Amino acid sequence: MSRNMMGMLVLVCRLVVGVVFIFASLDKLQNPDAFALVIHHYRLVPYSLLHPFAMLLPMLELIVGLALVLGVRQRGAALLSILMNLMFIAALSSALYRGLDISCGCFHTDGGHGVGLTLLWRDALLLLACLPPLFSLTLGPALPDLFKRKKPR
Amino acid sequence: MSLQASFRDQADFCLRRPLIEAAGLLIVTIVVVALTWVLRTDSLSLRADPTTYEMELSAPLVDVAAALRLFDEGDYLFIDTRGNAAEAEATISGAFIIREATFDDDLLALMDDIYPEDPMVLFGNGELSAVSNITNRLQSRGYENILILRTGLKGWEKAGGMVSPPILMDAEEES
Repeated sequence: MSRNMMGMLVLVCRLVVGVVFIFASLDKLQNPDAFALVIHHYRLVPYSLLHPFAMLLPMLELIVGLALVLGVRQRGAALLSILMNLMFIAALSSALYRGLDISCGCFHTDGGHGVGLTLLWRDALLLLACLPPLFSLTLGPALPDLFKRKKPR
Repeated sequence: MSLQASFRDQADFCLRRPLIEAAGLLIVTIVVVALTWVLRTDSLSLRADPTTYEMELSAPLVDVAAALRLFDEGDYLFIDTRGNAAEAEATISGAFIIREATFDDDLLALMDDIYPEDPMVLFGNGELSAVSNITNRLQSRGYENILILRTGLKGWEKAGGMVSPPILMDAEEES
């Protein structure tokens, strides 16, 4: 694959994953109490960590999403998004295994999708989309490039 | 460029830099969350109050005083759900052990001792969601009459409830 094509692939992956993460964070940031309840439904997080987790996760999603879209610290953001997707896949799998009939809380805190295999596939695809920005040698256009001075010839 | 230097560059590119960047983003996130928490008037408390989520538990909660009464009346079975219950020094006297990790084996070992119609009080180390998970699984097996001890074993001991070494089932005793 040529360098330009790879750069384009990385850019598309970054934008897709970034926009998804930003969109996913908005409702949770506005309603942390409702999101805490959604997390509680999974019955995986102890009460002592429930609220800190409900406040940290959406903000991390937003910052990682912005970093990917803007191309700032994008390889670190890709790494974090891989870790978050792995966590989501583990939580969904655990809920499916235990037969919990709960909403996933992926984008909305008031209902939304119930946990199911479709969501696992979606998270797996998102995880795959995080790999090019992490491992590619070319990173695609980024916001900091706009502020770099061109070297005089 | 030597092979060693090339390998070092690869490791730096694939691992070190992303890790450093990820750590930086995490620190920024923590700082922003901390600032938001201070500035927002409707911030969540740092520690969740279990009673806020009580309605979400799989079974009603019972406090220590009521649990002590039930213990004295003798109608309720007490079930220890702590992960390390079998190795623990003490548990509520006469309590059976059902742990999440070995749920099926524990339940099988207790087949002759507890029946679906038996009323029971489940307790753990005070972590209600963990007990609630086991309650869910018991309910799916037809055990309907379940209460959860709010404070766990610590609260029980503090209130002067009777404790004794845990009852080990046959399989565990053999091993």
